[in-house]
Amino acid sequence: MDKDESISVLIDKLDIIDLEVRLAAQRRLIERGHEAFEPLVAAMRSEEGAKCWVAAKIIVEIDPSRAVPPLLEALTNSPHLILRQTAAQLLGKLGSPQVVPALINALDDCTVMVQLAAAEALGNLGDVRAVPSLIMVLQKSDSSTIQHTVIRALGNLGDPRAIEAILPFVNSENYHVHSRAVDSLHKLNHPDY
Amino acid sequence: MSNEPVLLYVEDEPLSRQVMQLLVERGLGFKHLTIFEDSENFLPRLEALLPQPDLIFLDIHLQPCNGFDILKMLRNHEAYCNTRVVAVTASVMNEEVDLLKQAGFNGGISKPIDQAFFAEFIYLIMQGQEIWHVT
Repeated sequence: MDKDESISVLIDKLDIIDLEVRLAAQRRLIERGHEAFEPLVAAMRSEEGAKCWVAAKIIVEIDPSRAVPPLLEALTNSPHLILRQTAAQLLGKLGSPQVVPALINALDDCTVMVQLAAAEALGNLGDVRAVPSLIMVLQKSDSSTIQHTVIRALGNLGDPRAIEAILPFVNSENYHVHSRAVDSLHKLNHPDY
Repeated sequence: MSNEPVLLYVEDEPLSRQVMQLLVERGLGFKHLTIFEDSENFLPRLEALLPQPDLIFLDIHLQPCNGFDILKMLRNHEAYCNTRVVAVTASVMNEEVDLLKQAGFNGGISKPIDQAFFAEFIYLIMQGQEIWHVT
């Protein structure tokens, strides 16, 4: 790839289906570092194609702390569901307590993919402010995918308030829900698990 | 590898199927994703697909044949013995992940799928690497 390839050309390549081309452009943009940061944020805000959510991933690689505000903006305001989902996943890996309220709000997102990503992210962040909202999601959902994702998050958070909400899922006929319920109860020091 | 891999996903959970479809079609922009809702008559249905898949994602706890059974069928079939096969799992048990590795899966990925890593995951698997992104 041309060493002097412009940042805008590289960003356009993030939309190319060929994964080899797309991933090479991704690596080049990470190498360009801070010079590429604002153009990538602009690509996120364009909400076009794959480049908007791939750009979100790259800005985290370039500067994780500087990436938090644009990711929060995307999670809260973007109409692009894959971008919101990616923003939730990435925020969960950044470990900043300031992102917790936005992720709790995202549990009510209209799209289940964002709800799942937010639940997973909250479980990773370890902030027990998320426990009551996660319990509410667990009690409302009849989807096994949401159930096993939220149960794992609650187990990771380590707050015993979740025990009562998780206990009924030990009897689930769904293998994943059952095994994650048992595992989470073990993490929460329930004497029977 | 072709520019765009042809994917097959075998999954009985409706929401997981919906998530995969969105990730692949809207997230990655791929056009060739087939989804089977169960493992009934798996091989005849696979053989009937056009184009044939380059990469197969398998849920493990399927009916009537589970993911291990399906992998065995594939590895014993002349046309599919070298097809890349990935386990999609929500398992928390290290023992199960060890069993997946021993069985001969080419990789594994946790549910819900990590969108931020999914493109690399597919690329590396298709390049012949064994990748376990199981958390």
